[in-house]
Amino acid sequence: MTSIALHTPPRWRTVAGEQIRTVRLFLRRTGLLLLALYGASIVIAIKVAFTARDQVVDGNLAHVNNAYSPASSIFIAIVACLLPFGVWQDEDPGRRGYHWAMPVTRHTHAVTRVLAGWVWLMAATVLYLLVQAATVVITERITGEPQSYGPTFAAWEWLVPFTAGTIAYMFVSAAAVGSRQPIAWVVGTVLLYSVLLSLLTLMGYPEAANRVASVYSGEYGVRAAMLGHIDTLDAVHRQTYSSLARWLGSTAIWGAMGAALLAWVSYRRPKSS
Amino acid sequence: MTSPLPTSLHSSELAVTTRALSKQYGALRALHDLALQVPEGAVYLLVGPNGAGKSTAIKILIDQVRPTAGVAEVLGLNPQVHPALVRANVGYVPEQLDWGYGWMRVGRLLEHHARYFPTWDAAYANRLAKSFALKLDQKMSTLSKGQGRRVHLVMALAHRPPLLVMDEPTDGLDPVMRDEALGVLIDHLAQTPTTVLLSTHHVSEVEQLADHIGVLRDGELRAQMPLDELRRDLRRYRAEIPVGWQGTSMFGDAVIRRVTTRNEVDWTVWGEESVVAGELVGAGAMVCESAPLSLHEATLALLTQEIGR
Repeated sequence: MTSIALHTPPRWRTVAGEQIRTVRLFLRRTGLLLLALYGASIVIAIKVAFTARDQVVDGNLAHVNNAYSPASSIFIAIVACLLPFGVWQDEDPGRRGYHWAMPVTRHTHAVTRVLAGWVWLMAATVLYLLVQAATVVITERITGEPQSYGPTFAAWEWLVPFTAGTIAYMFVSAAAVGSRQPIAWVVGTVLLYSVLLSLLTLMGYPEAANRVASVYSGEYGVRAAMLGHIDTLDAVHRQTYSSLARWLGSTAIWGAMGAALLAWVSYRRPKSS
Repeated sequence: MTSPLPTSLHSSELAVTTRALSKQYGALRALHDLALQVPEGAVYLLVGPNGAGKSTAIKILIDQVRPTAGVAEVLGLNPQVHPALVRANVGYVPEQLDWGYGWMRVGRLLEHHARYFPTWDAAYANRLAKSFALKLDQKMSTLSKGQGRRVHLVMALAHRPPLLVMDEPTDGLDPVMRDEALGVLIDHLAQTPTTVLLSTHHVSEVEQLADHIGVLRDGELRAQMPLDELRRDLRRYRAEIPVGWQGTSMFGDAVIRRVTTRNEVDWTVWGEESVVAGELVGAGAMVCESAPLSLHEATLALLTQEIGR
């Protein structure tokens, strides 16, 4: 045993705060671009509302619908899929020598960095929803019409972008944390799934194809988690309906899988070390 | 009688110990049965040719690499069990500069680093940055190897760790900066009680600093001892010998370097001077000269020793 008085490692809160600052610093240009995009969408919505206000179509006033739809969570999911490539840029598992010499464990570093990116993803989501809400209010002010022409949504559906973004972010982050070729893993998985589905359909295995398809479009599939609603197909019509239970269930399933995958790649050590 | 080169120290207070440490990369044996002993407060020089296993051993100490077998202990802690605590107490200068933060400016990276070390001395870090002529607004990705090394030195020293682990710390530095770096290190050791484990090919530079040495070859520790002992007991003997002298293979492996001509031997021998000289005389040789080796010469001799003749 040594008689040397040991220094303590940093508190996790300090490390997390520093990682949040670091990710912000790295993503500041991307963030500004996103803000510009949000601003542009408001400007376009205002222009559309002004144009529609005085336009008459077939003897009636034209309607404009800028109401919120949880389907717009796809935008957040796309941002969530791209974000990890920025958060982990220049830091594939073969280039983490500096980080692995820091006084935190490897998995703490990985999870904290992922968390830091997630904080900014959630901030982007909040801002996105504020832009959506502002668009609704501005459109109503300009046109004098309530924005209720499209389908109406339950209050919980405003949460869908948060969970959709989180799930997408966790899966892509797992690829970025655990692999030197995260793009290949992400694109490869989607391609593999599509090819498998096509092959089963073409080769005449409809039951197996349906099972594989349910991973995406089933009651607890990816789609239910990403959009908060599912499609049912009867003999004639395709119907879309939202379901709180299905959304909660699919979010729990896919969220848990994403978290488990992320935990596994964070704890796993590369073979060479 | 002469004894084989010592591979263990008689020190009770050790900052770093490894026991039967081995590391295998597939078929490649990087380390075998390594028993490193770095006493507290020592400046331990680890030498070895490229590929001897120095960097692997160092990386095991901070849990960057896991051993295949054996145990390491750093400041009384097993790095595999307490990796974060061990690294909080180690100032590490790696051989390879792996940033991952190429987009950061030097000043921001130092700030970032400081947050991870509660004992970071900001005033000292500034002084060090000035001594090393670092431009704080320069981007990390634009730094030369030598500049990167200087940033690493600041990061390793400024939290005043009890243990410094430096893998080729002066590699890439120009002669002026090398001198500056060694001066800074000497000052640091004078101000802060620190144990240093230093791996370098430039042994003559650290001669005034080091007090212990370990020689690593092919993943095995060939020798480990205080430098005083090395200077005292590793000597070069020049002796005249009669024609047909029978003692050409005397001392066995204790002869580190053996140059024998028809009427003279020029041997580097490990052993107590009086004993070696006495045995040579006893065997009929006439000792003309017995001289200690400089650290550079001693290291070269130990690294080129032919084993098992």
